[in-house]
Amino acid sequence: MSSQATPFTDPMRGTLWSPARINRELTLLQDCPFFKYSGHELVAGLLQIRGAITSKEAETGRIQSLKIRIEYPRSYPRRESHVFDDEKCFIPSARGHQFKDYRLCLSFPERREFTLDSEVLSQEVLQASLIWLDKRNIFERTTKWPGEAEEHNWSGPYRELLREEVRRCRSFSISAWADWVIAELVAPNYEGGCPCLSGRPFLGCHLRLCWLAAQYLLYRNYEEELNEHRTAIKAA
Amino acid sequence: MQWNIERSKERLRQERARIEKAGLNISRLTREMDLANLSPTDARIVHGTHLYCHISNLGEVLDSPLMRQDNFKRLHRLLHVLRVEQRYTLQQVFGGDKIQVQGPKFHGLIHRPYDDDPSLAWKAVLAALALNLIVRDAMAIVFPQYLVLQPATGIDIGDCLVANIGAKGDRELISVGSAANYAAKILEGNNAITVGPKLWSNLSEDRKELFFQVGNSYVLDESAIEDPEEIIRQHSYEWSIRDAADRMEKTVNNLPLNEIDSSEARVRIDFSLLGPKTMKMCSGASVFVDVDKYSATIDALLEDEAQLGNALRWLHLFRYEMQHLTVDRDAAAIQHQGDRLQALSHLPYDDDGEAMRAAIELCIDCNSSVEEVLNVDHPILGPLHVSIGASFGTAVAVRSGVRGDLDSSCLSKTISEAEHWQMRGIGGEIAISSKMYDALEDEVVRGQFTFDKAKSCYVAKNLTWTKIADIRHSNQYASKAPVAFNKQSSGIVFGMSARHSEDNIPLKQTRNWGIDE
Repeated sequence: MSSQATPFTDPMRGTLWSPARINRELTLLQDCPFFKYSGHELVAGLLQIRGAITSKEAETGRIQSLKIRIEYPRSYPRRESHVFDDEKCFIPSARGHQFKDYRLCLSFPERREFTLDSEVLSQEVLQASLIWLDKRNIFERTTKWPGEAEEHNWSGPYRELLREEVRRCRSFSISAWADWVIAELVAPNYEGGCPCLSGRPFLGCHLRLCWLAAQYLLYRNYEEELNEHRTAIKAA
Repeated sequence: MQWNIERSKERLRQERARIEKAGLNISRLTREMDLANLSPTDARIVHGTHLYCHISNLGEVLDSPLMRQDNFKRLHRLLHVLRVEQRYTLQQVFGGDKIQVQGPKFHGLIHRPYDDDPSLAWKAVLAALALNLIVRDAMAIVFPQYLVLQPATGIDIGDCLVANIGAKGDRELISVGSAANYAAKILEGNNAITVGPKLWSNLSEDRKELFFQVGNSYVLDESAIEDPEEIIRQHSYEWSIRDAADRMEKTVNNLPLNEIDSSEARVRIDFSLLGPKTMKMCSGASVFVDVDKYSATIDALLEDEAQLGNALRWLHLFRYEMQHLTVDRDAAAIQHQGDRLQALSHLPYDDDGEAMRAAIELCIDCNSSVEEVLNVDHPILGPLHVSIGASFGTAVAVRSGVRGDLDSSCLSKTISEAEHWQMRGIGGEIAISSKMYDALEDEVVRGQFTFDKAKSCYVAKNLTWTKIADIRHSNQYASKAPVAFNKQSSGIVFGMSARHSEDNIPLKQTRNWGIDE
């Protein structure tokens, strides 16, 4: 269901957390049988919900549980809510997919894996958190993150997204262009001709390709500079 | 019943609270004490000589057609008669104590005279001579038509911890210490008496000359003793082969073959229902679970009673958990042999493949409980690991001895194989026979075993249910299989069926991201 259909969402300011809206959100979360609600509060007008996600490992009967805090951003539901390890059980690390502020690293934002602007968004975030918990416990025991994961930076996931987009296009010329951009680090021109050889500029054709390439180069340069800076500091 | 970490945690927590409430009393055995009436909360540090008298040709005996007749009734009677006589000789003639009968091995302890190691050492050698003569010569008189038994005895001297673990007032002693361990490990050769270096050094010079060195141990030179019976008598022990044979004949007469009930086990064998007149046969897997380096730990703590108490507490927890695990898997715990459990997994009786898989699961249960419950929640002595050996074959389950002091045993050729692998294994290893490996259907479990050429068996290292679950989940995540939450089991399930069941809620899978901050 689109958020525009509900009276609780201001298109400019995001969700207005009225008691009725909070109740509806809590009902949605409590529909997830693996989530146990323990409390909520409004902090600077933004909703925070506390509870625990729990599952039982079939092979061992081990109960794995994590107390979490769900923080709703101002732009919710155009952006997903953030989930935090509320009791700081795990040590934050990139390999363990957890930010320094104990936020679970569920997904690369640009990948848009969650169904934004929908009522199932909160449930999807909780579901992803439950899988994160299972994977994190495996990581704690084996030091290897199970399943697919993004690279631990900004440029890597953008490069991967660019490649996926190129694969979807199924065009030899686009594929050659993407390889050239990635290898030669050439910034794309939004007004230049689209590599699909349609004769139109990027702006009116494969705009997302151009944008992903630009983001990749931007972050790649930034990360390179940052690394140089760090090396210089270390040397000093 | 499948292994469950939460169930194991809870029962061990309760058992530890019970042990701590009951308290443990550990004291050194003095002149005024003996090992009779030792209560389950008491343990004694005993200085003495440990004897293990083994039937080294048991494999041949098991194979002999005469023994195989009538469901091994003759074998059962033979062993019963032998055990009763060995017990009598050690206790009544040499003033020692029977600790346990472990299948083909008889374990005895001589702790008198106190504070006189040279006399104690020589007395043990004389007792070993008598025990060997019973097995070889006296048995041949009583059972002239049977294959002659070949004994091998190992002896060592030292301190050990003795406790009574018998239920309902029964006597079931266990002893833990490196002297007993060493004596059990030097059982080699036919008609041989092998002693440890510590015991040998306690002998007088002329007696030392009766032995020749083999590796670190010393073997009694049979040719140096013309008449062993005479030597025993010279030292004022009233014992002779003829007397022993007479006593055994009386026991045989009291146990005619037609009074022995021998049948195939179709339900779990209850060893408490077995006795001299009841025995069972089955196809089953023998499992040995031994705590690696526990005896060495006990040796190091013998002067520290508080720490020794902790070690004994841990042993009680270990025994308690192993006992429950075997029951959970519908297997039978045959015997606790010091820091080792011998179990028999023989169900279902009509499906060998399933019985073998159940036995492997029991092995994984035992390793999982030690690694993930005992070592995590009760690391009283720091992390300890178990070495496990298992082999499948036809087994004879018996309980022999005298009233109130019966020993459960299980005999088969494969048992010696399982025991051998367990003894040669290191902590964290599970060794199984090729036949059991072939019965494995689960690819993940199968993949954890590799063939060990030196031991001729399949070995898995550090295999626990958590490790198996981690591998399964990782494989499923890597293959991008659908994931769902099952409302009935409250757990995560994988596969195409995960999407379609009404009990399942499909879960949103994402590619996790991270930033090196």
